[in-house]
Amino acid sequence: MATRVNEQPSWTALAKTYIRSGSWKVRRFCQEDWILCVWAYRILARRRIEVAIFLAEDHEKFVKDAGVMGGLVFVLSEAYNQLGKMEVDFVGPPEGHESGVPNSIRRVAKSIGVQIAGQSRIADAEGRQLYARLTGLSAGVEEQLRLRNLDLIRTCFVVQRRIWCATEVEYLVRHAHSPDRLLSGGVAAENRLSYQHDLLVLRTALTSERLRTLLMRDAAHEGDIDVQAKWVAGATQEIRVNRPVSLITADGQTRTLAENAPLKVSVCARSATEYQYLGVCQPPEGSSLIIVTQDYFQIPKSVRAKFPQKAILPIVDSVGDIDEEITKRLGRASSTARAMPELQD
Amino acid sequence: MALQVHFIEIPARIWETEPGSRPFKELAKDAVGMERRIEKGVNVTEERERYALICNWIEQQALDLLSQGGSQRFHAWGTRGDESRKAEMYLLLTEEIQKFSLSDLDRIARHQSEQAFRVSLRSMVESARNWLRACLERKPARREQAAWRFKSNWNSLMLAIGLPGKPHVYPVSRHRVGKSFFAPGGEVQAQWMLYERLDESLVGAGMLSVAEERATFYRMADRAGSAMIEILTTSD
Repeated sequence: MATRVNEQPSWTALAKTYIRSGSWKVRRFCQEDWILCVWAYRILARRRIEVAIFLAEDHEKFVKDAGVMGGLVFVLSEAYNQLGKMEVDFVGPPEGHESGVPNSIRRVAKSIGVQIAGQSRIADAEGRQLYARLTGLSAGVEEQLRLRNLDLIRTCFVVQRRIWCATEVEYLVRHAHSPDRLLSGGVAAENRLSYQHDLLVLRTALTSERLRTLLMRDAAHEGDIDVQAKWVAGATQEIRVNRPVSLITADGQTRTLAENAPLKVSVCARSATEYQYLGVCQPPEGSSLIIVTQDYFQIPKSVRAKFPQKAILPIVDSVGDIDEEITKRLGRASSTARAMPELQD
Repeated sequence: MALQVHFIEIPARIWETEPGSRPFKELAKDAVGMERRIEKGVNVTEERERYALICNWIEQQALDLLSQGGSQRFHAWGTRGDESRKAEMYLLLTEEIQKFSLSDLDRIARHQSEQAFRVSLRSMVESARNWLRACLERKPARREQAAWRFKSNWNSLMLAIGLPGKPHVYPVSRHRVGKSFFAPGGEVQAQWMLYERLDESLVGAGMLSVAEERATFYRMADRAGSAMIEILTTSD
């Protein structure tokens, strides 16, 4: 059982010895008011990161090994930030308490398909792979990033900073002409056609995120909900939820999304003029719902009547709101790009 | 993601007067001012945001106009299933042109100035003939109109010839590619001239047919004295 933030657990004295030694830094990973992981590390001349202690505990409120995963993400991020590589050494007595890579880390690595070969070291390549999998990037996305010559770690940073989530990154990598431009926030509005294309990709990605928020919000009073989303083709996603959720379609009817039943949704984020003139997107076969923005309700009822009302699900944002959020996120992404560390030889 | 590109021709009269609140001409002028400030590095973040907003507005107004029947001519790529690839190619082509080296642009510019000379000379001869005919037929209104055209064509010819001993080269700005609005006259003309000039040594064979088709749209718009607005959207 994990320890509360304000408690004095048995490892406090141990941590204090590292704090007193001066060269070691002690960090903890908390969720709500529970400490899930504690570790002590030091950086040697920006060439080597050493971890002396890595302790993690589980709590019934969080998924198993959440502490290990959280702690590991921080350690790997710090390693990359300080050294430019994701190589981590675990040190045993007399200086540390970890004579090898902890079993908890090995177990988590194995469960996400990464094998750690070294006895007391996570190698750079293993660290990178581990970091990508912990971030939630699938092997397919990793392959796409490699094929398009994109920096895997920068992409992971963008996800870890909550600028874009893993599902959105997957969409960006597949459909954007220049994903690195989007991930580094360097979209120039004066190159209008490229900008418009980037904007279309980002609008679709963000609208899908808004749909997930909508599902979570509608299920909030019944407890936590897990929404799994997977891109199947173009702007079409397959969504699964772990408990039933009710949704209100454009005609005001309630539609229930059954537990664990796959639902295909097509995202169509457009402005009111575009809906009026171009209509809603034509979803591929097998798609049950078309996700639209609030702009849809700004078009005359007579025009709306032409569309299949019961298959249209509006999100709470308009295209203007979505574009504003995109601008903010691109701004944050560009600050991530500026803060990238120097790569060491 | 299936793409669509819409090319909307805006007649010069509408370009100068519509929409009532602020005509396209004024909006485009503001946007060009923003482009210039961005290029000079003045207040770039804010100018880029404003530029995106103004372009959105211009495009939405063009779509509105189209739905009201204000535009006589309209072309689209990607509205039929097999054409989506064309829209995709066009985007790639635009990005490709933006990467052109200065020597490529110079070559195109030289060709353009030769072509501009030929076009201007032909127009001038035609307007002189019209003027003469109007004089012989004793029609003062037509004579004045023909005289005005002759003067305008004469100026274009002088511009194409340039100063004595210095062949004039039409400036080809990278920003003229990848924009979504083009004012009637010089801007539309520069577009068809640029796209018509592209050859296989500069872009891939697949892109060439797209470039030719686009050049045709712009040539038609130029002949009609119209402006052109491009809108990119998705169909799925």
